Amino acid sequence: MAESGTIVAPSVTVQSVLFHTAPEAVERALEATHRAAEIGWLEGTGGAVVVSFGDCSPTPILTDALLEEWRGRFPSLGDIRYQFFGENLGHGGAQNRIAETTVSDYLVIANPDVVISPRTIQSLLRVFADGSVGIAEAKQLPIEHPKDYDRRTGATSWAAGAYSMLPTGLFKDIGGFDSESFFMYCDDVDISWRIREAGHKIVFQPGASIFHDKTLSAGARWQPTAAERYFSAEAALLLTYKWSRPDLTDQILASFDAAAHLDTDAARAAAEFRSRAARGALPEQRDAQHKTAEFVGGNYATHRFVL
Amino acid sequence: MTAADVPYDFDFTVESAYGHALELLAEYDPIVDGGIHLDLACGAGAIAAQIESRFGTSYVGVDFDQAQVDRLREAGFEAHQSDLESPDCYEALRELIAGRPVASITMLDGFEHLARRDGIGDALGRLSREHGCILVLSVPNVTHRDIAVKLALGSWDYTSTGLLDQTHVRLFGERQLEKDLAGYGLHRIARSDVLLTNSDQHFPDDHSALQQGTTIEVLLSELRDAAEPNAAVNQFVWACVAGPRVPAVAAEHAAAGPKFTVLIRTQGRRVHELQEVLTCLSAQSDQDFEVVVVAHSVDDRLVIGRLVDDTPAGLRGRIRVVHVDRGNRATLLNIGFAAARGRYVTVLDDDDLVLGHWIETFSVLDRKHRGQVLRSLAVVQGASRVDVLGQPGIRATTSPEMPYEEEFSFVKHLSLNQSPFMTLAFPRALFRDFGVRFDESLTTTEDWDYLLRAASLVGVADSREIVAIYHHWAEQESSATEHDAEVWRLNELAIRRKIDSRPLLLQAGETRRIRQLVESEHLYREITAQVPATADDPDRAEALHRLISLLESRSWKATSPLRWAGGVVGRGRDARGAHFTDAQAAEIQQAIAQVERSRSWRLSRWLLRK
Repeated sequence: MAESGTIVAPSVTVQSVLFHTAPEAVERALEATHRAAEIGWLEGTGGAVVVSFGDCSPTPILTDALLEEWRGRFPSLGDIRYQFFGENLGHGGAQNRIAETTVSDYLVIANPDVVISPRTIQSLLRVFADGSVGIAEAKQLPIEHPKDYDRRTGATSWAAGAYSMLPTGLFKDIGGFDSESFFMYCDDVDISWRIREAGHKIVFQPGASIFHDKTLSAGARWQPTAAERYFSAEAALLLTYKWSRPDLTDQILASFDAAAHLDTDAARAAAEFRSRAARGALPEQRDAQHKTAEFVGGNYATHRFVL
Repeated sequence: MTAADVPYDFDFTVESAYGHALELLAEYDPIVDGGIHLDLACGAGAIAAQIESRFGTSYVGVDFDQAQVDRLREAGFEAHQSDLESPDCYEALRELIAGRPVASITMLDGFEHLARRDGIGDALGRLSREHGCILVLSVPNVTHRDIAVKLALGSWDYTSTGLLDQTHVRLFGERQLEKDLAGYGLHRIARSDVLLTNSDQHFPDDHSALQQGTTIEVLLSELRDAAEPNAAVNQFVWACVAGPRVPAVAAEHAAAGPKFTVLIRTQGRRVHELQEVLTCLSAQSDQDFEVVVVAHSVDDRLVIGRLVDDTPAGLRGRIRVVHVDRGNRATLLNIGFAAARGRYVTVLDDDDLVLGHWIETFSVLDRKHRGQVLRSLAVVQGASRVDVLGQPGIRATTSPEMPYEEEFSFVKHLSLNQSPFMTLAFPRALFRDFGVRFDESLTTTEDWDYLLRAASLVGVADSREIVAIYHHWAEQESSATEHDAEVWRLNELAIRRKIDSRPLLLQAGETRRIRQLVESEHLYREITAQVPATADDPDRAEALHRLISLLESRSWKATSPLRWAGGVVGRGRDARGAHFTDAQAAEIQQAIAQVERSRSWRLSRWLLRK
């Protein structure tokens, strides 16, 4: 960041995994990131911003022509990179693969369709003025995640993968996401806890906001899809096991078994977990003293409200 | 030939268009040495003597009818025969002016008789410009209330003279006359219209829509009077001067605006909140909207400017900021609606949020229910302001709850507003064509009042989609005072008085809801009948009715999760009106007070007042 006495604003790579993502949604997100980069450049508060996509869809979502058009339209972005993986690596696997080519000071784990507020990147960078911060998460609009955080320091249990920033070096030092264990969900919880385990703080910064759309049911509750239910269920089993809470793993398995006739997604997740156990494919356990992970009432943090 | 044989030989009276025209001329003192007054389409020259005696200018009459010209000459006035429909009208008039200065021009009740007006229009514009003189003209108003009401019911009656004179070949309302004149480079600087509550079109006498006080007369008259200010104008009498020519754009070719205008009111104090609102707008799946930010008494205008400038270019180009330093919340809305160009206007205050399909949901409704008020749903969520590591932010504090009626009911909205502002999109035609304005005498609940009037006129189309988050601020609740509640009650009473004072249109289906209400009243009577009434307990019956209404309200039911177990009113969390039929008056009053003091009820009231 510093070269021969000159302060150079830190560079950032925004990493996103594409999977059947609508190009127009990607374009809206890019336009917002472009504007944020432009403001940082104009005001001298932000360095180069690169957007790097990894595409796990069966066929490429983005064409060379479209990418060229975007590079022309969004000149404040240092680059718009695109890799087509030709296979579904899962979220963590794809992020790890993208990160292999990331060289910026910080990287942002981001959903590809989030629209950021114009000063979100700068707001998150400011959090790292405290060198002990390992990862900083932006607040999601319009529905905020219910996990609790300290109203003064922003300290929280974990940082969501919708939009979180961390030093690229730290990401690589801890080995990135655990893509062997987590395909789609809770890889962000797991990486947060490994960052915390390594002695760094997890910070939620409500002053940095991003729009990550959700729909609400008639009862004003979040409506997960079937895939979200399945992978959440699977991740709950693996996360409790990995972070040395077999008591909770057993409880969850028992509840899934009891509800198997009502919830086939949960039943499938239980079967997959047992299959992994039989194959010896469960993750290595850690945090035996329960100093890092937080399991509170079925969540991975204290929640302020029900969603 | 007698006067009776001469058409349009009306005497001069001060109440007539002639009198009004001379008053306007007098205001501008058209006295020029050696100047003439040019009276076009002069007919019998009703103003000739007045012009010469009052202003000292020489009267020059011009008309196509040679007989009229002859009569004027016989009376001692200069008069010329000329074809005012001729494309060479300007040259002909210049010839008869013969180099004399023109002090003023009149053309009273002549314009509407001319099939070809470009020649005379051009001449009027050029002469007015060349001589720097004033033009006064009068034209009958075919948008008079009498004509409007009859036409709405299929009647169109030409008469020998008057508003619908059978020889009129061009009909004018205010906008059309303004457009035509502007096309000739003539612009109004003053007016002295002739008003007639009952015009010559006020017939037949027994037409129920014309007879004052019938429901249909009141309804149609109010609609007409609100739509545009000339309902009682019999003749427009305008003073005009020359200015730039403004080519008329046919209404059907007027530039199309966006489908929606998002109107944001702000005082510039909730900067972070407004930034979040703008981010929500950047992310809308349907971007067919413009944004009008109405900034009220904002000291540091740069704050708003910077927020707008920060937004991505695609949105930034669609945002306009209107600064206003006067009025109240309703004033801002009237100014914002006037500035809007969208087919619909939706109001998003600077401290609420919308989901990504907010505009899209309205757009879907528009395709099926064009022209109605479009309505969706919002959740209510507690929020507070925080400061994390020196950066301001907003923190959600409670679960989202949906306390509003999913289906719009006018009848239910009469007692409580069930529709937060941002869940509604109003057709701009209500403001533009119906003249429905926000009531600036209201200090709160102006949205509720507007919704009631709009819904009555055009109906409401519902979507069951939740598309917005109405923030309930902890600070707001803590600052709520009895004074606020009193102001709210006064505004509520004003709205009710207004609604009660006029006929009301109801959307299909509302009578079913009225029946349900009547039937629930029967239920109430059955409940109260179980307790023998005594001579001194009418207050108790009234109080019991009030308590039942409170406990059966959706707001109370929807906020039940907010109440602690054991119940606020001493009869359990699920207390119902029927539980109190045996209660004493004091106990009922105490229960009402407890309900109204409870946090959840105050929350629901606050939800509904913003």
